[in-house]
Amino acid sequence: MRERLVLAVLSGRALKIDRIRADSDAPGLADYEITLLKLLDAVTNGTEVRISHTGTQLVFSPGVLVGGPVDLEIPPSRAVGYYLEALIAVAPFAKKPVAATLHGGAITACEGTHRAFTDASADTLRTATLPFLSRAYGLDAAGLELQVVRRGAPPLGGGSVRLVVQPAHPASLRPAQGLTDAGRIRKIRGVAACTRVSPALATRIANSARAVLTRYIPDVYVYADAARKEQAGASPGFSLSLVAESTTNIIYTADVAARPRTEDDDGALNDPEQLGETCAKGLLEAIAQGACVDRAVEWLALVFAVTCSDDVSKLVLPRRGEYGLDKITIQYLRDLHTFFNVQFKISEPTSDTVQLAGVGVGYNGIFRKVV
Amino acid sequence: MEDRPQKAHRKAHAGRKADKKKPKNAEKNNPKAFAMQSGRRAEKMARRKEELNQKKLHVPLVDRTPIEPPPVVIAVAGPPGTGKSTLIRSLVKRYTRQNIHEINGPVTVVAGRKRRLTFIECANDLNAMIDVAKVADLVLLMVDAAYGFEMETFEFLNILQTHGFPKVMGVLTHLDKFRDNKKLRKRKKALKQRFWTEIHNGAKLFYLSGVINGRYPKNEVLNLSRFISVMKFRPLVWRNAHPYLLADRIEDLTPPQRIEANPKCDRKVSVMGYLRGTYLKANAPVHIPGAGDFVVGDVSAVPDPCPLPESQRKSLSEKHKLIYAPMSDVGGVMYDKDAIYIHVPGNFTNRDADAENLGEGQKMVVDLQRFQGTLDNQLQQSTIRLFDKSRPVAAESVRLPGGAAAADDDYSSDEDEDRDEDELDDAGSADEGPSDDDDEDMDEDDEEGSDAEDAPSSSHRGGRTRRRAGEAYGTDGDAAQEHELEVYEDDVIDMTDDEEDDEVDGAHKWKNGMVERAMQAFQARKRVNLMDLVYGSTGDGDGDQEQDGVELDDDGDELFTKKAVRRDDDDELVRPALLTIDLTKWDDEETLESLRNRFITGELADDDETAGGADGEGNPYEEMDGDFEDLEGSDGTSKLAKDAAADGEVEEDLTEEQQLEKKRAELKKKFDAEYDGMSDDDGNKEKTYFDVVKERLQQQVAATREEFDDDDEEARIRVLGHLPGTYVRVVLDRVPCEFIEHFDPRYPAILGGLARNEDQYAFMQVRIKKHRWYKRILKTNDPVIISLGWRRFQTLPLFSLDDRIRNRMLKYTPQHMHCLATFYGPLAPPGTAFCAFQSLEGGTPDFRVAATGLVSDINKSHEIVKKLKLTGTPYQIYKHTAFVRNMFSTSLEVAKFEGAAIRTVSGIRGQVKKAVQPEGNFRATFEDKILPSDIVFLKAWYPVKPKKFCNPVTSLLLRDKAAWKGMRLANTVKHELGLKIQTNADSSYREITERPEVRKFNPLKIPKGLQRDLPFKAKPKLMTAQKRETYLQKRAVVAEPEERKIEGLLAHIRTLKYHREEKKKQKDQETREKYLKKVAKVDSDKADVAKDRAKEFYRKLGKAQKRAADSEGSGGGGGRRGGKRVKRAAAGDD
Repeated sequence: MRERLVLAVLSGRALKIDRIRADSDAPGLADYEITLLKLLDAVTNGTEVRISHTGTQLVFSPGVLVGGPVDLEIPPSRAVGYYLEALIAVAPFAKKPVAATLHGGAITACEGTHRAFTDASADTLRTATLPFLSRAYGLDAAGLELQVVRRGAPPLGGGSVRLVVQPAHPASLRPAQGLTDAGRIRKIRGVAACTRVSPALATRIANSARAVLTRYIPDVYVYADAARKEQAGASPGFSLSLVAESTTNIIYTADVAARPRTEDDDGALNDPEQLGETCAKGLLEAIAQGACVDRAVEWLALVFAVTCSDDVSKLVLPRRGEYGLDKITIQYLRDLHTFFNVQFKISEPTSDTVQLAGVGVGYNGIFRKVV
Repeated sequence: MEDRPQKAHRKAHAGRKADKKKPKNAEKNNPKAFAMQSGRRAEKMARRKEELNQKKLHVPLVDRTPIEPPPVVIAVAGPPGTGKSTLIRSLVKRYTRQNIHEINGPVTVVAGRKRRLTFIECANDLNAMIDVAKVADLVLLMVDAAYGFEMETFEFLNILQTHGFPKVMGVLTHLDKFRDNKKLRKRKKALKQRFWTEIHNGAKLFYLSGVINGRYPKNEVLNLSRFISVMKFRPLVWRNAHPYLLADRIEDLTPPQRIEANPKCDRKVSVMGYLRGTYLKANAPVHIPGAGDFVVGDVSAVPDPCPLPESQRKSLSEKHKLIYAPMSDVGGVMYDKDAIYIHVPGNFTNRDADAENLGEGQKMVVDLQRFQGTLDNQLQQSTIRLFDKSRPVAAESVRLPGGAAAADDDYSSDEDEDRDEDELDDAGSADEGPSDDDDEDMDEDDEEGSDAEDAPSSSHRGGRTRRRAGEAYGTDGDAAQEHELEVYEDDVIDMTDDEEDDEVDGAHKWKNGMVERAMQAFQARKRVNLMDLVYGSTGDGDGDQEQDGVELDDDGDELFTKKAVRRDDDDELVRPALLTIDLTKWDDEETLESLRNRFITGELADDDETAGGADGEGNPYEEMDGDFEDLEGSDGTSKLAKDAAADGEVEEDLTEEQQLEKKRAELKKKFDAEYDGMSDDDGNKEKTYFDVVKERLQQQVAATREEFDDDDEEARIRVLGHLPGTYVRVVLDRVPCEFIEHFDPRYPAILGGLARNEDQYAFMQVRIKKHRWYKRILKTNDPVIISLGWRRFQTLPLFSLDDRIRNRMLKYTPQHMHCLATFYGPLAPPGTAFCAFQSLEGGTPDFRVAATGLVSDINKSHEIVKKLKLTGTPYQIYKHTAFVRNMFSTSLEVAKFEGAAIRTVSGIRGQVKKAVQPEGNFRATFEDKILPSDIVFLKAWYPVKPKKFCNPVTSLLLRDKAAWKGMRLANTVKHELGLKIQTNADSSYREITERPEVRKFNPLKIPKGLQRDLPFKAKPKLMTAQKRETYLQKRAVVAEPEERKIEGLLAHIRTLKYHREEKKKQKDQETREKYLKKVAKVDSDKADVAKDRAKEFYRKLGKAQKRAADSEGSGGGGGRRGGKRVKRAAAGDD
């Protein structure tokens, strides 16, 4: 739904979604979806949102992307990454710079009940997603700024982040053409963060992750960031975000946060060493897939490939699922087709990768203001 | 003498001639002459040069000209009677040796090995001028030199300027009207100067003298064509970003039954033309100026009717000099509404006899007829479209797999058959007085037609046979798409059988290779299976999506429904949590080791196998190694050093220092290149930032081209769309019937693609300036017609001026200044220029372009305010407090304005404090005591909303295209209804009777005590008038006799002087009168001569006109020079 709303805003087409969790025990829109709608409403002018009484039907007709300052309280049910990614996708096309401050959510990666989803942590967004977009699509790196004001951990959150995105100039946005060569990993960076726990935990996480990764290259730096007092959120927690960078500026990420034990879920993860190791292995898994676009940035990469310029963007994804692309990606490609009338050429250059080549619709800076 | 060979020329090495040959200003000559003499001057020159250089700079644009570019659109424009048709006729004759009698719609000719030209004639109507200006690549601006510039010329130039300004070449005609050579020269010069100021200095102006045999002289046309052939075109921003096509042909595809049931039903229309601009995809939104917005149903490439010659010879052979003008009457082909007639010489019956003399195309038609029965099956599937007598079209080439759409389903072959039969009937009834022959023939055809739909019918008349070729393009392609793959193959087999049965003679060449092509198409379908998986095959994309639980439902009316069935949160899975993935395999040492080569520390040898990347990464990798070495010195026990050594085997013999030196140099070079990109590899040629950006853009385009070069057609069309330059057929649904019914080929039909968001409506803020030549100023909320992007629409602008604090509404545009206007309309990206008109109708001698401007901002709402002054009167005044009434009507209003600043007429400032009873009154405080006669003001700003009105100009849907009428202007309405301008009685000036004329002001009294304390400076210095006489006043002054004498003498002298001056003045006046008399006489003499001359001239003119009118009345008129010339540009008639 988030992706579709973003596409609706970018393409300016109205969207109607029916039967939202109609058969579920908690029917209708979830609190985080409502917040996302609020966020999109805040950065646009003239957006109309109609939600039915039961909350199972949504009519969303987007307005003009304006941008400007946004100050929003977010529920801790999902991490800030959920909102920030949506914001990053639309903000470069806005009229004014977007300066958003989101309070209350979890900064770390956040997993839903039964580990249904993972949201990227603010650290991953800052160290991987934003540099990736600026390198691949020519967004001005100086115009992208993400700052963690206060760290919050699930379940209560209480963090605060500030995102500033300058509008992109139509001439500066270019299609991604360097995402076909994976290169070799040349450095690994990471942030081990902890809130309301002993600062030593962060170091322990970092060390355990390093232990796995230093066998490959010595250039592994994991920063320990222990937040205390007013810099810490409401609940105790710790997390690790790892980013590997290749010689061709391809990035791979892994993001894990600690999970406290709860009654209905026994998959707790509260051993820092285990967490560090899991995350490092996750990073190896991502590297092993041999793609050039990490999962964390995949959908953003596709959005920008469609919206940037009317030349070809090439993305190499790992081969997944039965047909080479998993269900979500396929659905996402279909959504791009319905909203933008853009199809991707899908080929298989090697046995374990899938290459998408698509021509964007051209960014004409329709919402920009010229003097 | 004669046999003696001529002496070779010998150059002079010495003497006068040798000196002459010496280059001037050689070193020795006068070095001082070129030395710098004045620093100021040198500085000025340098600055001027820089300024000129800066002027040249522009934002680099991508050059998207395809390898085989579409024909260049040459618009011939000008007021009526300047010889537009004559010029097109002459040029067409020059290129193709064909005569066109009537120019209807675009005429495409092959002009050279790499250039095709499309000529369009611009009708004398603003709508047509606007549309033509949007598509023309080159404009030939015709000017009647004998008459001078006319308003239309300047209007057209202004329209061109706002829509990108394509190349313009002026053509002066009617030069033969000048008898006097000197006058001609003078006129030419004057016109040229005016033309240059309008375009740019040095703009090309062509001179065409008189008309010979209805065409311009051969030599002059040849010269003109040479200039056209070397013309280079700069990409224009708007056209570079939008696909568009100029319709060559328009066909109505609506089933006749539907039209019969409801003649006003919406039509299904196919539009054909060369695609220009960028790529065009199916389902793309398009706009037809003058008709409306549509969604492209289906786009398919059809064979080029006017292909470029394949041979590389420099000159064109006669065979390649093609012409394509489906709406005009060219050679043997006649275009008619929904079919093509081909003139075939000779009789129908003896066709076999002169089969040898027939052209290739005619032969094919005849051939088809001969094989009518046996080709049965094949004809079910194939269609023929014929143009000119040149190239037959292969049926299989329309079977492009990408060309089908589900939307075409309803148009099955059955309907096609019916339609054809209907057409036959129509044709039969259309013939005046159908003869017996005709009827018989029709019957025959009807019988045969039941199974062979495309069998050509024929009708005899007067020894010449007029035959019609059936037209049902692309329908077979759709049908083929519906079949399963096996069926498709079966078809192919069937066709081969047929081919074997038939004799494959010359006329059947078009069927050759059908099997191969079909197989190719089949292969193409097989290859894109992954794309099919994602998007569904071309036909049933929606069905596929439904399976996945998402249902698409396009209502057509903007709201775009998506019915998502979502079961759980799992559906929203973006990335699986790391915890859920099985990571145990990473405990295994072997698995861990397998990843070794994905890191820079891995082995280089098996780079290709494991890294999955190409070898191209070698360079950055090497550099990285270098970095590491620099960083960590030579503690190279690790693999780093080893790798570096492996890389640099050649350099092993170099010493370490040398290597370092080399590396440093390389790094520096790389840094330089990255940092400013200014120097070339060799470092000798300067590369500007402009070059770098341009190169990057060009690389992008090249990459796109490369990516899809080796792809099959279908995949390319799906991903990229149709390439510009291809001849395409675009099917549009739900086109208003008037578009077809009132179609007039003289008015261009343009299919302009819309980019993202451009099919939406919102408020646009534009920077606008009233045109200097427009006589009136524009009024807020008075309708204007705006030509923006592809569109023409009428809207209500709200003018405003941004004074840095607020956006203040203006009632009228400023005379000579830019202002802002806000109006509701279809979006265009900021930076797009537009021009505005108050009326599109002709018949006015004035300039019609009312304003020009630029889109600056798009939003759903804009904040525009106007001044609001609330007035009230005090009814009770205390020291600093006053009670005010009549400003508000309720206390709620007062509450809203609590704390607002107020002031009186005399400038005493105050503040609204609190509401009091009665309702609407309030207490206010002031900095001083106010007068009961004071009026209290409250200055406020009131937001004004622009009106939400947008009315597209639908001129193409009218029978009379020039007669479009939109919302009337305010003053027109007033005039027509006989209304007077409403005036507010309060606003008019009148005598003030309420207050006394002279107001009495009491003298300012300062208390004595206060006066005493004041410093001297501030003390009032009031002094009463002196009553006593002064010393001087008391004394009488008596002059001395000496003094009296002097005084008297001076008086004498003065009197004399005055007298002298008086006399001189009189004399001067007399002289002047004499002179004036003389001058008047000369003038009157001159006037007499001029009068005589004028008399003579007009007498001759009248005679000539009369003669012309007589001849026209009898001859029936070749040109359309009906337009009465009422306009005369003020600027052009010096």
